[in-house]
Amino acid sequence: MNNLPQILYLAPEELNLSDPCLFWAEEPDPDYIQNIDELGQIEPVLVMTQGSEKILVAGYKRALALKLLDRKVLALEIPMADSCLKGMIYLLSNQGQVLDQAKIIHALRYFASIDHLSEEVWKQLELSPGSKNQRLWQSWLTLPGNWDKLLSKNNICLECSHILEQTAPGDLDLLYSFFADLSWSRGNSINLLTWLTEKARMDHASLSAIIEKLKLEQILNSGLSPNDKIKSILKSVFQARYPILSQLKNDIAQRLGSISRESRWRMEHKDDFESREIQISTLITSQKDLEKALSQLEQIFRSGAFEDWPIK
Amino acid sequence: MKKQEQKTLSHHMPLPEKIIVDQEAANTPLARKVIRKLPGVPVKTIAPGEDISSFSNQDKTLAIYLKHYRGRFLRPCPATRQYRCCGYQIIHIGENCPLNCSYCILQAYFQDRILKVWANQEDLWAELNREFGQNKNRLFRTGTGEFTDSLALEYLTGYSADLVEFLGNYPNVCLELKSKIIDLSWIKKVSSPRHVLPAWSVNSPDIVQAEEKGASTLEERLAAARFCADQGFRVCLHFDPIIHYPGWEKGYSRTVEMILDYLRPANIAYISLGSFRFMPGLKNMIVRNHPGSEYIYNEFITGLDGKARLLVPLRLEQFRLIAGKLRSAGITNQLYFCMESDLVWKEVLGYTPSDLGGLARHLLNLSFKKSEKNSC
Repeated sequence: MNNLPQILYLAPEELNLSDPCLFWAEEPDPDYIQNIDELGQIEPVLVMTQGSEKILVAGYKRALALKLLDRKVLALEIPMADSCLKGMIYLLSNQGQVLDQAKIIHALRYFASIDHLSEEVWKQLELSPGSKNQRLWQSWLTLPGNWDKLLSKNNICLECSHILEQTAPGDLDLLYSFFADLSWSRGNSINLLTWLTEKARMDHASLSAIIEKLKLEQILNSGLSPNDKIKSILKSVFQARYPILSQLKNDIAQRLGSISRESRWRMEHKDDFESREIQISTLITSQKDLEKALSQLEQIFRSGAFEDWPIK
Repeated sequence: MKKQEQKTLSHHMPLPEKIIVDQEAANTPLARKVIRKLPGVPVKTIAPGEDISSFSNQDKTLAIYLKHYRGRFLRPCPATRQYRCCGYQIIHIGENCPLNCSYCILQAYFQDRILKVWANQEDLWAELNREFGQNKNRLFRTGTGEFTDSLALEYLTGYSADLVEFLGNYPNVCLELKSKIIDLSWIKKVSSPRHVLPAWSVNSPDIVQAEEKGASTLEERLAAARFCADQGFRVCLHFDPIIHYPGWEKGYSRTVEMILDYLRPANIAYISLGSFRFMPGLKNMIVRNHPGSEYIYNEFITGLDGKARLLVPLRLEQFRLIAGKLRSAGITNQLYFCMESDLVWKEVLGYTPSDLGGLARHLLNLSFKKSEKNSC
């Protein structure tokens, strides 16, 4: 009968709550503590005996709530296991949790640290072996651990991992500062890193040299709002990566702006100069608006602004 | 026809290390020929319905797959609504290429090292006979160089030789054989040089050297073209893909000079100009497989067909330089753009395909124009 799990009542101070296998350890909030207080513990935590210590391997939130309430902890003692099995027990006992990026990276870091990123682990984290997502996470694991916080905060997207893993350590540290306090959308973060990296390749320069040349740190440390900082940084990097396209876009924006200024017409070119089409649009709410818009369009026509269109 | 003096083959590519053959195709003349030419190379026969992906290419060795092809052999060149297509008909003889050109779209289409050859030639002949024999008054401009290099596997398959021999009975068909290597062994099967257009991709010497690994040099290609012209053929040249790199002006100017060293305008049926364009997925493949290929970091935008294209002013400056030099040398109405808009046609040549009666018709006329024997 000795092999059967033992039910124990333990004083909270008898429990070691700091085993790394508790990779999703979460502090109980007041509501949770109140529920435990009113309903009591309805499910035992899992412990193992290591020397004279009882190591908690699942049920951190419950154990901590009971500790705060100064109550004994109902525990199920299971046989001693190695780090890998402890991690799997913890993972399985937390099945059903919503797997956000923070949870996934914490779990992956744990199993990677004990060199046991098995197929079973990936499957438990709902990541198909061989999938694109798995490759992205594998790339992310090559980054220093401090980047995990940025991913958890959604300041950067997982898709950037492919670019970041190719980045030299010194450049990586510099890039970190751009994501530490600014929350970049998926598209913006990919664009920033892609354009910077490609510009560096074109110039045979380091990322740091490009960042310095474009004075991006000055924008980062300026008094602009976070959104304006992102816009300004992206604009600067885009201009460096696509100088001719940027110039053309600026020229056409100015030209169309000057043509439609003081009218209610909006003029846009959308095809990156693959066509010479200009889209002209306006909004009206009444017959009078329409009359005015038509009159303004007539004026634009009579100005001859499009006579030398397209621009050579 | 003149005695063949040109050296026939330079083997630029490694030999296949594995032969895969569909059971249904195992006894075809083509399969037997390939197996005979590769003695000692292991042969794996595939039963009908068996999936080859499980064992075919795990080790990334070069394999040749002699397939019983069930699809259409004759199909129109994939065109888009937004850019002008030359409208030729592809005779589909296989897929993939043993050459290793960094920019090649086939990397993205076929992500393996399996060279597929349609071994059931009897089905091909039957389909071509139905299409070409039905109306002998209708002219067809055809080619095999869309999904594979027309001649890269000729030393093993003799496919082009078989094809020109077969098409000898169809004077309403003109066949273009487009390649980057030299193999002229098919010439001896040609009954009328009027109906075969040997064609080579050309590029700047820098690009040939750096980006077209395994292919023949530009000099070799042009010497082969000269040899064909001497035999009474008119040849085609394809500047495709034109790549914008530091020093491109000098590089492409040199190519034009070399063309004029080897060929006279009358030797040339037509010359196409096509700027480098690619499906978005190809970029990462080039970055990964050809890290030295920095042209990929130029100013590409997404074109109206969803493919990445060089920004139009950059394309225009390249087209203007190359077309200008060719036109100055008397190569005028033989020039056309591959997959370009009317805007580009007008800006560079001053006219659009409609002014020529449509590009497909114009090229058809050029294809069937009577050949002239010229010498430099």
